[in-house]
Formats: sequence, C-alpha cells, structure tokens
Amino acid sequence: MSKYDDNYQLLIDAINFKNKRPLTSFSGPAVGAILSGMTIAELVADPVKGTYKTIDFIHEIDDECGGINLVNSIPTGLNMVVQISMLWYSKVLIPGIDIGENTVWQVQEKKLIDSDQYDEIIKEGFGNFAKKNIIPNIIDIDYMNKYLKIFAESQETIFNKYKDMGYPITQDFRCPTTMIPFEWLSGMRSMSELLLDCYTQLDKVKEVCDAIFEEKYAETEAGLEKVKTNRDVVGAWTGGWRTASAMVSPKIWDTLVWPYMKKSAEQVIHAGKISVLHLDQNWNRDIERFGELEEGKYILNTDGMTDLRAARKKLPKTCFMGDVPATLLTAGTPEQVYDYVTRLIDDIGPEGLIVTAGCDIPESATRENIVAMFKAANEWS
Amino acid sequence: MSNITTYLAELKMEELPQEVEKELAAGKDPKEILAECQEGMVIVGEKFANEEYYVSDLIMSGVLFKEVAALLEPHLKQGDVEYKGKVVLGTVENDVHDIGKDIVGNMLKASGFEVVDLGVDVPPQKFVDALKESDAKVLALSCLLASCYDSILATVNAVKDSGLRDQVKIVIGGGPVDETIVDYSGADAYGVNAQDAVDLCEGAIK
Repeated sequence: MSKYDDNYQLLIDAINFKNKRPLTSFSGPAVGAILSGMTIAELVADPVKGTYKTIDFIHEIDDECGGINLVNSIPTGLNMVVQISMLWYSKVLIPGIDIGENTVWQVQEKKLIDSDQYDEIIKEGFGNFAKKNIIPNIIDIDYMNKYLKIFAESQETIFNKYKDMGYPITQDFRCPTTMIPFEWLSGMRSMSELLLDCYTQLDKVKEVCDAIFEEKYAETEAGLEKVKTNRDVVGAWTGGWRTASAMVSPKIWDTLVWPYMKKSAEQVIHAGKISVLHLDQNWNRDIERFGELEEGKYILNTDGMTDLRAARKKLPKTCFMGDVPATLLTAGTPEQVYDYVTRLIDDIGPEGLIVTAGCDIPESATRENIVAMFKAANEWS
Repeated sequence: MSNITTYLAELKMEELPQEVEKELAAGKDPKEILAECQEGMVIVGEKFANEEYYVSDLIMSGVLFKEVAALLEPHLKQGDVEYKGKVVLGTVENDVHDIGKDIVGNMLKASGFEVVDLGVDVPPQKFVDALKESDAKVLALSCLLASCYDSILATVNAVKDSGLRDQVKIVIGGGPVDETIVDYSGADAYGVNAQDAVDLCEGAIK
C-alpha cells in the first residue's frame, strides 16, 4: 500500500474508533509559507506559490516529527481574502494593501444590511441578494475573479500533489457544504444587530435562515453529486464560531444553530462523505447533541476551549480532532506543547483522536512547537 | 426590586426603555434610575456566572444599558454620575477587531466604570499617553489574533518604561488569550468574556 493509502485507512479507522495510536494532522493556511520565508502579503498575492511552499514545509517536518498522517485547512491555491470574504460575507482587509505586509488578513465586520431587508432575501433568493447587495460591498469583483480563475486552474494539480505526498485531506473544498445561516447573517448584519433581532423578532430571523438554508442546501446537493464517487474527496467542513454554545443562549442555539448544523452534517454524511465540524470557541453546554449524528461519520474539530475530557465521557465513540491552543503554539515552549499533547492523549485515549492545532496552526507559531506537537503524538506510549 | 432593575435583569428590550421614559416623565431622579439599572446589571452578571445567561445575553444587556444611558443623558448634570473607576481600553496594534472590545466597553460602562476607549490598532505609546492623561488605574487590552501577542508584550513594556507599571493593573482578553499569554506578556490577568473583564476591573480598583 502507498503512504496515501496507509494514511487513508488510518483516517477511516480513527473515525470509526478502531485506531490504536493517535493520528496527526497538519492544519493552517499560512504558517507553512510564512516559516518558509514568505510574507503574508506575498502569500495572499501568490496563493499557488504559498501552497507549494506549505507542501514543502509539511514534507520537511514530516521526517523531523516522526510522521504526519493527514492535512486539514491547508492552502489549496485559493486566495485567503477571497475565501474568507465568501465565508463571512464581510469585508476582509488585505495584507500589503489595507494593512501591513506581515499582518494577517482580518475581517472588518460592520452592518451591511438592515433587518427590514430580510424580506428581500426571502423574496429575491439569497444568491441574488448577496450578488447585488453584499459581494460588491465587501470585495473588489475583479480581484475576486482573478483569484477564482487562478484557483480553478491550479486546484487539481495541487490536490494531486497532496495525494502524491501521501496526505489525505480531511475537509476538502471540492466537497460542498450548506453551513449555518446565522454565521453569514452575523457577518452581514453584524453580530450585535443580529442578536438584537434574535431578541426582538426571532420568528423573522428563523424565516430568513430557513430561506437561505433551503437555497444553499439545493446547491450543495448538486455539488455533492459531482464528488460522490471520488474516494479522495473525504469530507466537508461545517464551521461554527459565533454560534458556539458559550456565545448564544440555549433558545437561540436550539432554534438557529443546531437544526441547521445537524442538517448540514447529515447532508454530507448521506452523500457518503465525512462531516468535519469545525468548532471554534466553547461548545461544552451542547456537546452531547452531536451524538445525534451517525457514529463513525463525523469528526469534531475543536480549538482548546471545548473541554475534550468532558466531551469524551459524553461522546465515547466520537472522533476528535484538536486541540492544541494557538497561545501554546505561538508563545509556549516545545516542552509545554509536548506535555499538553501527552496529557491530552493520556486523558482521553488514542482511539478516535487526531492531534492537530485548535482551529488552525497560527501563522505566528514556531517551527519547534509544531514539531513538538506532532512528535508528542508519535512518541506517545 | 424596581421595575427598571427587573426589566434590565430580564432583558426586556421593549419594556425597559418605555419604563425609563415613563418614570422620567413622572419626575423620577435620573440618578436613581441609573442606580437601578446598575443593580440590574449585577443580576445579569450573577445569571451569567450561574450559566443562566450566555455571551449573547451579556451583549444584549450592554445594548439595553446603552439605550437607557442615552435616554438619561439629557437629564443628568455634570458630576451627577459617580464612577467606580477609570479604565483605558483598546485593541492592540495591528489588530482591527472591535466587537469584543465594544462589548467589554459597554459592560464596563454599565457596571459603573468610566471608559477611555482608544479604538483598534492602538500603538503602545498611545495607551501610555492615555493612562497618563486620564490617571486610570486599569488598562484593558483586547487581542483577537495570535500574531498580535507581541503587541500585548510591547504595550506592557511601554507601560513599564513609562514608570506607570506599579500603579496600573493590565488585563487582557480576546479569543486566543490565556494564562500562557499573561506569562508571555507580563500582564496581570486575562478574562475569557466580558463579565470576566468587569470582575477583573472591579478587583483591580479595590
């Protein structure tokens, strides 16, 4: 079997709780290129070069740390400003243009729509509404199209390169996902304004969320059909950050978060793919609800703020991916990182565990700390 | 418990402003209304600590308080409002995120602090200048980016270099901030949410 096939099988084993050792996954859209000498502005301006720099970086540290099995949230030739603009529906400041060349891209969230425009979304359809009222206000269309073209031309070669290097990609842009409308509305309305709507007109917010979800669900369905039989397209990303349990009240979570998150995950699962639930922030209160999803078909990717020890007791057979904090990877020592990972594996066991950074490896992480994170997993006994 | 305290504690978005307007029209002392609101904020903090309320509820309590403060402002004379203490607040250099900072600012104001809000992407020297000018005893730094830990460090060092470090408590907050960053930067403490920020500032002025 090839390295890719070995790692692919290990991933399937981990999701099904059959692995005996913890797996390792490299995640991070920028750090590999930055530690290879590119500035953040250069990475944004030339995402394809940044991707190949990242692939070389992963290959270099693979030997040094005793092996990397998987990759997750890695660059694939898509400009990060374009990607995040479309993910948040907010303006993203461009390194080297709007902000310093070594300052990371940042979402500048501000109110783009009023609550009385919810009816327009419902009437016109979300895609049409966004094309007219949101996208031109958050990104230069020529800039976006230029980078989408580059991505379209380069992505297949890049995905093949990751495969040739032996790394299955756990969450893959080729695998579409429907997501949680609350996150997009938060970007368009601003979080405070959206929350105010939730307290004053919850039914209307629910109505607009339903309309957005239904439209996106149909688009996703068509996209999933195209990748259904492609074994290398392993899974899809459904992310939550503003929708974390610590952020919103149980009423909002039960009404505007979980129903959509669950349906989004189930849609991916029904297409024979793995749902990778990227959970930033603290999800302790509701973590048990993820047990409603089909066992062995999803991964919970947490960032260090959710208590994985408590989660393991509630979800004894769920695959976790995480959760070394950004703080440790940036400002900690290799010894601290090594200890953190060792304790994590000791406490929750190696089965169903993929060791990686919480969220992503930050661009400010040190090489030594990244190596220590993977080394600890590989040397655990 | 007064209606105003109850309405704020229970986040009654429509009833509270109506009640404030009604009581103002009836001639109630605006300082008393303010005190009742602050009492309501204490209850919000308790509910948050007991996990009856979550961050969204804290945000809404801040929004409500801001609305009430705007209604009271024309009725208050200079010197009417007594502050618990003064806090200089801002997002550190190279970081333009303002949501967390604004939530903390609202919560601090609602809890009786005077807040000197310097905005986002604030250079270390600007924090120092504001501390000198305002004589604040608390510096609250917001940071949402792992790449900006050095900005926290530089700000703490600038405060040290200015000779103010012994007189000022420095608290930090934001998504990717924890004890590791307190140790790294030499700040005094960190908070994971806006209520923590209020508690830390209360502790700092005691």
